[in-house]
Amino acid sequence: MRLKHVRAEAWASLHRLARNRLALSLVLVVPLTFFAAVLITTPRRPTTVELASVPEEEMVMPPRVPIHPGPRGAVLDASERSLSAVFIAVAAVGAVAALLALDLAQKDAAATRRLVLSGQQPAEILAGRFAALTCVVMAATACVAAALPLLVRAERFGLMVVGLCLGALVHAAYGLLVGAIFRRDLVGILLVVLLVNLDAGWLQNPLYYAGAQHRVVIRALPAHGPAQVALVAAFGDYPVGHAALLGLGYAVLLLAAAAVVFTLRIRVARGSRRFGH
Amino acid sequence: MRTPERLQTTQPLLEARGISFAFLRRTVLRGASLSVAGGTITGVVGENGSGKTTLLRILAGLTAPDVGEVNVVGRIGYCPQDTELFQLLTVREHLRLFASALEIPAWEAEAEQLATRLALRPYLDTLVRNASGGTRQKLNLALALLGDPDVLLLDEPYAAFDWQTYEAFWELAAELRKRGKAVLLVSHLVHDRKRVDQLWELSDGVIRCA
Repeated sequence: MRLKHVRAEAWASLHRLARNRLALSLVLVVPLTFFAAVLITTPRRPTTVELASVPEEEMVMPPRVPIHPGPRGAVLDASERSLSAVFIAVAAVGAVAALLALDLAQKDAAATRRLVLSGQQPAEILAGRFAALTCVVMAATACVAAALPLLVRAERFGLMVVGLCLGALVHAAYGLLVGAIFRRDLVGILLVVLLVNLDAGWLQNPLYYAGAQHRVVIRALPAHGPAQVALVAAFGDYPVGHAALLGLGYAVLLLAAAAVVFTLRIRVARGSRRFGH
Repeated sequence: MRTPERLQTTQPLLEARGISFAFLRRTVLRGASLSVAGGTITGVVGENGSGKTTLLRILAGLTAPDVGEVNVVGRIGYCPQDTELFQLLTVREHLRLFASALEIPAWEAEAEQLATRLALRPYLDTLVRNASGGTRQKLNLALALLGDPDVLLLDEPYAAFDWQTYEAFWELAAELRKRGKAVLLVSHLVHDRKRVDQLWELSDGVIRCA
């Protein structure tokens, strides 16, 4: 992989993203809509939830917010609104990142293939696009993080933002993968909305998790690591290393899968070649 | 057909042998073979849907045939029939991006030269999305010419050109021929026939020397 080529693609992708007004409007519209939904529908009443990634043996007393051992791990008392605000923030940045990535991957596919014909390697294109997406989704995450103190007083604000960033990266990689597999806008958008809605927007909700069954399914989903980093950092002092690694692992795995599919879909034959012999 | 003084190489720069291709149970190409020598302009004609574009895509390496062999000497420049461009990049940004892919060190000079030849200069900072059909077509061609390829595959490159640009295109093609390049051009225009050195006709998936 040639760094110069990655830089050229990242630069072009940044320009394409910055000029896509519809996609950029999502950066504001999606988080605002999600936060508005939390503000309107979620009460401030205290509730008890379980922190999925904090087992009982790792608990440190006394915590800054009321946390006590539960039958399966750490149990946390916090307001429904503040809990919802944190998990919905992960869903918001995830949705934005996945949709931007999908748009970048699906649009102008023929021109991208032509670029490969000119000598650019598919891996360089994907790396450049991921770099450009990282810049844009980090900016989006910063906007979301700036709005969060209005809804929640985070214990470890910086680490909570790291959770949001992880969520954005995991979903950006997912968007690139979906865009590499499916050429049609509608199918891609449906798959992005489906995952973000089911995973980050529903199953990772700590209010839901407390009463869920077959939790292993919830813990195996891509948004679990990032959501746990953000939640644990926002409401306690517990270690987040395992959850962060899980999120990073998912980002790497999805990006690698996107690279394989993208390379197979976009490869061209150069020089002399024989077929069917 | 004409044979002006030019650098014609005996060795074909592009050669296809026994190319067969079927799509959705329809045979598009049946054992198509052709060769294009350096210093020549070769035309491929045929009715709509006769497989001209498929043949060019196979030669360019964008489509894999079911059977066949393609031999290429040097690098291919490919100008597709549809303008395959990035809608949200400007003309200049396209030239820069593709020059980077081709590893052209002094890309600005070459891009300027191409922009002048193809009358693209006033539109260098225009987004492709906002450009006219003719400007897109010119950029489409400019990207194929970038990096001075040895073999040029042009799929109806002038469909949206005005007369002046059309004439400028043929001057450019004649210049490329003089410099020993192999130019393969798909066209359905009858009056282009006299401008090429060799003409192939595609009909019912079979290619014949016309």
